[in-house]
Amino acid sequence: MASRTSKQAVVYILDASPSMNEPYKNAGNDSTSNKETNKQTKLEAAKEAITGLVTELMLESKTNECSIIVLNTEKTNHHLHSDDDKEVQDALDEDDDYEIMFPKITELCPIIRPNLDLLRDLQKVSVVANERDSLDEDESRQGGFCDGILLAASSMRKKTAGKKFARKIILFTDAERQVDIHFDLLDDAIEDLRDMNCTMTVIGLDFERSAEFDEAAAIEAGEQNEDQQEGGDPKHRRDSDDTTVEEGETNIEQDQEDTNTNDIDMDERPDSPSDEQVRAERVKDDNEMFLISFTKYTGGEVHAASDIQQMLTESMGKRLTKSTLNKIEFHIAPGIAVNARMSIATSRQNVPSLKKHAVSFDAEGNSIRNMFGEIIGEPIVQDTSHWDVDKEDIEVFLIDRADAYAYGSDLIPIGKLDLEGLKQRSPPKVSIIGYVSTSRIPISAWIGPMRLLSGPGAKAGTAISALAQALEKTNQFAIVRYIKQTDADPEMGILSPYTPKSDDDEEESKSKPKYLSYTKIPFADDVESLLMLPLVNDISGEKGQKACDELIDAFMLPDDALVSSKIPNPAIRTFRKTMIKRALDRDFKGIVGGRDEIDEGCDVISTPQNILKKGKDACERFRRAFPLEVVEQTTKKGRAKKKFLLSDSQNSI
Amino acid sequence: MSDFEDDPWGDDPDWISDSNDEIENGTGQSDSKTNASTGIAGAQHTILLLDAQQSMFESYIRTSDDSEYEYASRYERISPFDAGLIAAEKLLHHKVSNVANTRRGKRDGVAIVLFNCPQLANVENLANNSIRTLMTLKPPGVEQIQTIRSCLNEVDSKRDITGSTDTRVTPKRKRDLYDELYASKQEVEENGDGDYHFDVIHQSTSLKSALIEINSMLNEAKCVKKNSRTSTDVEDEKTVWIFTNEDDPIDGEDKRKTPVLSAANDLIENEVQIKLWPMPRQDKKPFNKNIFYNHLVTEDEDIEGGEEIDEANIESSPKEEELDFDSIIGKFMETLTKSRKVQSIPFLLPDWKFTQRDGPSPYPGMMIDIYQSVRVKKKPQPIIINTNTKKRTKKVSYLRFKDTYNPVDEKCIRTYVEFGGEKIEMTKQDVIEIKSKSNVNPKEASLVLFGFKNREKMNRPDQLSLVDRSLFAYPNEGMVKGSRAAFASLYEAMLRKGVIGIGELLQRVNASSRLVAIIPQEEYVDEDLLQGLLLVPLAYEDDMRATPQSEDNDADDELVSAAVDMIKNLNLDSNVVIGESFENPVLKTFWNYIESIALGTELKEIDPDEDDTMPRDEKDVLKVCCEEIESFRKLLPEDEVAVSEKKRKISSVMTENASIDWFKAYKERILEEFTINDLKSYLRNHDLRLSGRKSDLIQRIEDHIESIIGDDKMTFEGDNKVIDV
Repeated sequence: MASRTSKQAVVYILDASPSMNEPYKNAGNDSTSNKETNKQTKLEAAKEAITGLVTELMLESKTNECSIIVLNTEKTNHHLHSDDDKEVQDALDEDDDYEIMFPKITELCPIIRPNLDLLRDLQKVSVVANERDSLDEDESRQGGFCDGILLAASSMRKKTAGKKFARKIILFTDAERQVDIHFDLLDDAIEDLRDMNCTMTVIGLDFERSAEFDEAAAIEAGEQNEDQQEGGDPKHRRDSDDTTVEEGETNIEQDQEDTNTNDIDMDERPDSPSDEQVRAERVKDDNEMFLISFTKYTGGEVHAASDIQQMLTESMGKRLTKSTLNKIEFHIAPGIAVNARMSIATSRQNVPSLKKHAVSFDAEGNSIRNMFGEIIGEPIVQDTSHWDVDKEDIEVFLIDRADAYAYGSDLIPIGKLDLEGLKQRSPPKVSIIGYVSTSRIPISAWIGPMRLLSGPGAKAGTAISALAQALEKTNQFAIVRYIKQTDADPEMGILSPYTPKSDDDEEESKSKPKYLSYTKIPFADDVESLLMLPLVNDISGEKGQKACDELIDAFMLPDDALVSSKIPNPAIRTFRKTMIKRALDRDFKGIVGGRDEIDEGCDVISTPQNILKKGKDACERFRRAFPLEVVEQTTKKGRAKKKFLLSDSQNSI
Repeated sequence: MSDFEDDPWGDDPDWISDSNDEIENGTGQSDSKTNASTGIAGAQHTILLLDAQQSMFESYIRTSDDSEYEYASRYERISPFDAGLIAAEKLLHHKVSNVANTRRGKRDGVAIVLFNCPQLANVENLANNSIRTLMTLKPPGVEQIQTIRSCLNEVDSKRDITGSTDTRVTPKRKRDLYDELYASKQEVEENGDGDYHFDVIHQSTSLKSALIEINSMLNEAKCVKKNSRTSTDVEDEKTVWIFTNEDDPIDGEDKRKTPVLSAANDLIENEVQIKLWPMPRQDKKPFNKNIFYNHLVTEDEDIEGGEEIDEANIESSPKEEELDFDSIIGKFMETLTKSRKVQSIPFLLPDWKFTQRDGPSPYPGMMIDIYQSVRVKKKPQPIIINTNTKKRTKKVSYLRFKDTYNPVDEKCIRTYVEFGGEKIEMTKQDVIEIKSKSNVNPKEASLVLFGFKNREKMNRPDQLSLVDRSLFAYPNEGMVKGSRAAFASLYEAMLRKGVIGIGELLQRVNASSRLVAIIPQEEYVDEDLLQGLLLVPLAYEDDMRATPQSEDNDADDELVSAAVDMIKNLNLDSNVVIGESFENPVLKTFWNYIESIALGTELKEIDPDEDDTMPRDEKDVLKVCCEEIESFRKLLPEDEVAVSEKKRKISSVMTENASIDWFKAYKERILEEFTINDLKSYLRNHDLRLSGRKSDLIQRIEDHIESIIGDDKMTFEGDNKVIDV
């Protein structure tokens, strides 16, 4: 989804089942993570992905909230039950039948604005070494993803019901463990999630299937009974599941029976791994099916993720900041004015700026930290004072200060009010002056960033769409005068057709432009006067031309390569990675995530490796055709060349 | 204070300039190390050397009726000397406004020296007496502008609008330099007094003395930065322009040549460029530079590029039978305002890593000069002055604890970045390292080519994901020989094959690199084809914003074709020229105001019709396109609320009901009988609010009329009679 409507609430569910401790089969082709990727376990991969997602969430907006639920933990600690709670403990001791809700699940935090402690806690999550023998069957199935989802749904309802959130549950699991499925609770949960418009995303580590449901499937009449049938999409079903059962309860029993048999098999005949494999595969298969069917009713996606990068991109979608739509009058022609909206389309982002604070030092010269390990920094302010330029000890106070403007080397005092009088009064407005062929406005005159003009209502929307299409047809730009804010100084610009980018590139070419994009153009005096000799006389002969043609042919890039708008700014990326690394590891002082860490050929901002290899000869031929020689630069002194030397003049006499 | 005007991408300090120093020639104390590495030049000092021999004062240069130059526009012919003065005025004005509008050139000095002046016999040094310094070398301000203007014909702020065809007006000026220089001569001649001797020294001697004088002026001037020989700082640019109509100051005698050239050589040793601005000769013979001046002037530093064009222009112009004054000044200003390169960097091939200098087969890469195509001028920020001394104050900043307001020891200050509510330590050095590690070529500023793409999909701003201004690249043969041929051939091939390049541009080692589209430019600027590569910065994913979601308001074909008709009828192709059209109205007004205060002159009225940034007059538009606009308007679906502005405009055009006697209506209490439209037309004419019910409107009109007649006796427009209350 290209845009987000509001702040987000996300519950991440991390499966810490024993199987997650196994190496990640498909790992290794991730270009951005460190080189130990090959040895990474599924849990570590998932942790890294969640860390990435949570930090993205934090960076995107301070109002985003999230929670992390870890499955299969030793203890139980979540909003419905806490092992540490004394009352609960007492109840547990007294009443043998006291049932713990969703045991072996830990909520690292309720749904809150994420902080660094949450990330640090996440780093500490590890797989509890389950000694299978010591666990009874029930226990081995506790703390499964189904419980996790139910808990997440409960948490979501408790914390966000009635508030404006874009809700999402993201589950990271390999679904290899046989777990409890509480069908009795699922219906309610699904209904809850549907009510809250909460979607479900499953990142299936080593999954075989993927599915995507743009919208939650309709629940048909009597669906509750047929839940199982619906859940298992016949297409995906395997033979073993052909027994359709009407009641959820029965199905569980069925499952349990299966499990029982398999467990016995496993225990008794450990030397027949194929059976165990078959059983494991079946469990996994069933689980996958279950998750797909669950997602079908909540809306969302199931991804068979093959690497962390994929996990990140799949679960994040494109995270584009939304722009404010500013009200503006759009004057199209005499008598035609509409209420339109102007918004920013591109905006150059930079590495965040640093803040200053004052710190104290201990005897060894290290900055003093508080009990949480944070550096204690005192806020500081900048105090600016003005002093007489000749007499250093005389301060010029506010009353003696005035504004002046430079007239060459002289300063002309001018009051603020005088300048106010020069202002042209106007509401925010875009007025079309006329139209010109696109060739009249050279690219060198385009001044980014771009803005978008869209319409809130039918009139403005239709007028803008009609103009956009007409401009495209006639190959013209509209010349406009643009006043950004009330009484602001006007600027000149062009309006050109803008076709919203769809995910499907083919569709894009067909779809009609819908909005107008605004690009500033220079005033007369802003254009620099450049006078250059034409290059035509220096074009080399046939050999040189051939070398150039070959170079171009060899380095033609595929359409999907080096599309800048899909490449994150490497400096910002490195900055964030370093910042996060330093946040989680306070002793870390280095830099991570630089382009030097990227393996050769994996850098997205470079010529694709295959093209580079093939193009080497073309480069070589270009070099041979155009030999270059560095001219030794003399110092600046004496560089002004003389056409005439004194000695020459004497000779000529 | 920071000055990022030289940041070719905009105001952002982060992008090119990490240092907050004043990059160009701001204070003369700037950290010039960065300058040297980026090739940003120092201050530009200009000395105008005007020939003051008698023929320079003869008015024989033709001017055009519609001359842009107000000092010449009303005279048929002006003298070469005046042309020189007008050029000087333009130069001073340019320098002064440059400081105001671009904050550049604060240290640029200008001087005007006259040579070949008549000498007085009873002074010791005749040669020195033949030169006069009209203004000495320093950054110009009010004084200089006033001096030069006083020497020129007065310009009436209100132009002669009688339409008189007699353009010959007797020049009026506060200060006539001819009189000043030659009056005593005339007197002497008339009186036959023997105390004065004129023209006793040869004009070549005067020229020589002038050159010597200029050299000492340059050495003494405060504004000229003096670098030691070992310094790597950028030198100031120093140029002497000689304005003369005499192509043979040595009278064909070679022996007179040597002393002048010797003096010129001293200047050249001092890094001064000597340039000639030949004026048309009175006898209409072509100005022959080969006789003498070609030996005197310096060659341009950059062998290739624009300089040669100028050279060609200079050469060709005086050969024309009669040189037009406008073209003299126009070309002079063109030369002065010519954009200077921002830097020179290598342009590297995709496999550059294998051919680096320390590699087995080093290949330097074509050297390219980077220029700014556009430099947006903004209204200057005010400078704070001390009202008692009228001088700029010295700004001192201290850091203090926010709570106690005690000063903070510099050593305790650390930088951090906030994340997840915690402070994460991060130093400036870290950020530099982060940026450096994020660049493809951390070793040097360069442009690395990655590959090519078809151009057809990159024809609109949105297709390029435009985020900033473009830069212009042109080969530099002087630094790397062979660059020009390689660059020109690649440029031609890219154009022929319809491709653009994609590359990464790093302008400073400490800055962040940027992905750029490398577009072969084939655009005409005026009539000249400006060939070179445009570097257009592309948006990263971080720079993109989400497209607003709105309901589908797809226009139907009928509406689109109505829009097409409208567009065709309102085409401005013949009127719009980038670089000429759209004078910045805000800067114009602002500058006009500052100047009137600075010089104590009357505020010039600016003709609103000259402002081509305003929409054209509605009636004019409707004349050419009424039907099309109407059919487009009719096809638009209606919204609930219309823009009030629109209503106002239309109705103000249509109904200006002057026939109603409002005062009478008020007195007779019959305002209610008027329609709402009539009532509104009154309110509109008196800039009152239009909203509310009819009774509100009437109340408002009554209040207004009462307020008018409230101040004792007033003439009320309605019936032109004095109301006695």
